[in-house]
Amino acid sequence: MSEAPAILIVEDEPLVANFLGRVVRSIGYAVAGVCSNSSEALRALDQPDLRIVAAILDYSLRDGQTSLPVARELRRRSLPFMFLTGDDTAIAEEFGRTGYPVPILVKPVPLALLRETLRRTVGDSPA
Amino acid sequence: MSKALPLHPVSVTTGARSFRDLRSVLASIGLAVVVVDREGTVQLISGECERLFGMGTGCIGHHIGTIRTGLDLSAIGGDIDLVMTDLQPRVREVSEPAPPRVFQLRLTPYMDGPHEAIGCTITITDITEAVERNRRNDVSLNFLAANEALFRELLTNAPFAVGIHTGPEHRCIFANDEFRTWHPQCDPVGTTLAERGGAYEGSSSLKFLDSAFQTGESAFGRMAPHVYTDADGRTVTRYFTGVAQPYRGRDGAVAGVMAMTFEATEEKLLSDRQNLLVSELRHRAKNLLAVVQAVAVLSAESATDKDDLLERLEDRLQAIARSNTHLASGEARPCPLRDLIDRELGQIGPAVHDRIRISVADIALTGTQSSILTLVLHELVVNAIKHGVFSTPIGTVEITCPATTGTADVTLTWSESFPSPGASGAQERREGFGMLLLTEIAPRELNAAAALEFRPSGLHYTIRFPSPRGAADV
Repeated sequence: MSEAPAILIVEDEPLVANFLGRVVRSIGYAVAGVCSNSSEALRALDQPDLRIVAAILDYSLRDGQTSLPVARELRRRSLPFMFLTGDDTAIAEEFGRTGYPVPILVKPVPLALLRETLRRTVGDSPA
Repeated sequence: MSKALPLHPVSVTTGARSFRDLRSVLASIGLAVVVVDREGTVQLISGECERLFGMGTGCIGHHIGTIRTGLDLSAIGGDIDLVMTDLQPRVREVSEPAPPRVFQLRLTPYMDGPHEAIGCTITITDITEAVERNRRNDVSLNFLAANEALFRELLTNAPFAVGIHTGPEHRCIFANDEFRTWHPQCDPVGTTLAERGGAYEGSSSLKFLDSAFQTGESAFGRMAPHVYTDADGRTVTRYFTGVAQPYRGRDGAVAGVMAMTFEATEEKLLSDRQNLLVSELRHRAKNLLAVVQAVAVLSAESATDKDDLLERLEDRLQAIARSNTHLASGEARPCPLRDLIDRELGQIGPAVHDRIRISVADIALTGTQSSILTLVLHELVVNAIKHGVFSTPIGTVEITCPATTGTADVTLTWSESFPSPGASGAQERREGFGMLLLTEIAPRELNAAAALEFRPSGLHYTIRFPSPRGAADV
């Protein structure tokens, strides 16, 4: 399991995070970790043994924070990721302008669409 | 009477050349300008003069003092002589009775080289409104002076802060009682804003007064911060809402600012709190549907059939609703653990209540803690009814949570026990939503350690979480 390439989940709602973890595992990837804020996620990205190849980001986190710092860092490292959010307008304003292609799914997202988008984001199957 | 002004001479190379160049400029300029030679003979005249006073190009070649138009210029010959002699600009005011207007004539020497004037430019400006404003101002100032004692008494007892300041550094010349409470460390009268405090860089008080003084317009401040150091050396921030009103001196220029302000500190704190709560509610609301989806998917995995799924899902949605109560009611106050336990046990019939022993210290939970523990207790209660101690006619539950000191961790225990070991044999570890919540989600969310055991005597669950006294949460 730890040998499989892994996907990082940034989501502050534990039930949703768990659900996302199941979806990630169902397409053959490991869960690199569940982070509820940006600083945790940035620390995880610095650990090579986690084998992070992609990420799912909840846009708005608690205390008025967002996952934009993580998104910028992922883009700097050329790692694919997708946003999962309650409201896509804020991302469109803050991130859409950059032209970096990022799928944005609005909660609640149908399971099939989530799987399909995740597969497309990370590539068909783990190496 | 005309008076001398500082010298701003117009320099040209030759008179003839410059008169020619000026002609086209004056034809279209939006100012009433007349150019005369040393003797006062009109040389050039701008188009605006004809429009305003009927002084057309027919005036050229005549002495300006002999022109009979809408403006009495008979006294101007003497002014021109003076300007030609001392080369100082002069101004004269001319009043016209019908309609009542006041014009200002500004005479400037028209220089040929640094020492010789070849003529004079006369600019005519309508200053009726400025004169009227000054007159009204004078009336007000005289009235104020005559009734100073009355105004002073009214303002001193006003329920809002009044400070009257003079000059660009806002030296205070009057402070009422309320205003003095904003500057407790000194008597504000006689001090500049910088001296009495509240003039830190970027300070609202400074911008508020400066804006009114510099623009001559009222400045409004809404919930603006005022920072000062109190008598004990503490930095205090109070918020005010008010208006800064500039006043003019007898020369018509802004002389100072009168500020009238109300304290808005409470409103500001209240509004900050509301914004925080609204932002938290927005966040929760956006995620709620995703949570419902996750609960549905996870519940479906362990459900035996459709009815079972529906029943579990409904129960859990209700538990989620209860876990959000502290937010829905708009209250950010801590929730007592005992209330939460009673609320969850209230979901089951009274028949089993005498089989429950509760020994819980007085602990006030944070919002997140009460949300998660509501769900935890819900799963424990439901499990006890379906598979545990309440699925049989005997057996008891003990819920304990001893008091802690300081910021030591809090340990909540749910312990089921049957009178004879083995009676609970039917219960075994089951994968599913409840298990997930008790062993993974709740510990992670509460930064807690949890242990779920199936002892021979019955299910035993403990969760140890950080003291709410040490947590910052709504």
